[in-house]
Amino acid sequence: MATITLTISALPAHVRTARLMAATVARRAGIAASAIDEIRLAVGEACSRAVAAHKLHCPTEPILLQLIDGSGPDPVTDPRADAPNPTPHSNGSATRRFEVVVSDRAPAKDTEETTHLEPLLDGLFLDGEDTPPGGISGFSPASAWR
Amino acid sequence: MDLKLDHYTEGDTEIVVVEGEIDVYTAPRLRELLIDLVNKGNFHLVVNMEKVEFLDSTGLGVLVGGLKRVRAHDGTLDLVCTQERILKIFRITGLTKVFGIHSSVQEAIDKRSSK
Repeated sequence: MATITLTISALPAHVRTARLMAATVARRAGIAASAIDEIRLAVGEACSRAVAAHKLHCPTEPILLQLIDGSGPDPVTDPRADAPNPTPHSNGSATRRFEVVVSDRAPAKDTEETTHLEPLLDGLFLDGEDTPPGGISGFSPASAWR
Repeated sequence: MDLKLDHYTEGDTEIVVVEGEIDVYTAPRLRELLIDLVNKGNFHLVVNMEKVEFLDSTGLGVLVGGLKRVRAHDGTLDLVCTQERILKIFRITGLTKVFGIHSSVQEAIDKRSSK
C-alpha cells in the first residue's frame, strides 16, 4: 500500500492541482479509465468545499490530501472476508482499493456554514438577491435556503 | 488546461465558446462574461461546450445563474454539448430538464427560432 500526501494552500487555483494529482495517481494504480473522470470530479468537489470552508474560517491553514493506493492483497488489514479478488494488471500488480482523503481544518459544525449554499445553488441567487427575478422550472428557490 | 472564452454574434443570438476546465478557479470568469453579455442586452445565449474538458458544480452554478438572468428578460440560454462525460454531469444533476442541450450551435439556433 502506498500513500501520497499533498498539501495545498486554500486557494481555488490549487484545486486543479489536486485533481490532476489524484487522476495521475489513480491511473498509475490501475484504476479503470472510465472511473478516472469520476475521481477527478469527486476530488474537485471535495477540495472546492474545503477551500470554501477554509476561506471562511482559516484561510492561512493548508488542506491535506492523502491518495492511498491499496494495491496488492493485504488480508491482515482488510476486514472484508468477502472482498473480491483484486484484478491483475499488465504490470503484475493488482488494485483492490484507491482512496482519497481530503482533510480540512475548518470547524466541523458551524452555523455560518449551514447557511452557505452549494455552488450549484449559488447560481440561483446572485448579487445578494433573496428572491430571483425569474424562476427556473424544476427548482424551488425558497427551499434552497432552508 | 485553463479556461478560454470567446463569443460572437449569430443573428439575435450570442454564441459563447468555452474551452478548457470550468471549476472553482475559472468559473468566475465565465460568470463575468455571461453577466456582461446580459447587461449589454444579449438575452439569447448559446454556450458551446464542445471543448470543455472538465465541469464541476461551480460551473453548473454559473450556467444556472446565467439562465436565471436571461429568463428575467424572457431570454434563453441553451447549451451545445455532445461529450458524454459532460452530459453525464447534467444528467445526474437533473439539469437536462432545465437546459436545452443541443448537438450543434445551428441546431440550438434553429430550435429556438422554431418555437
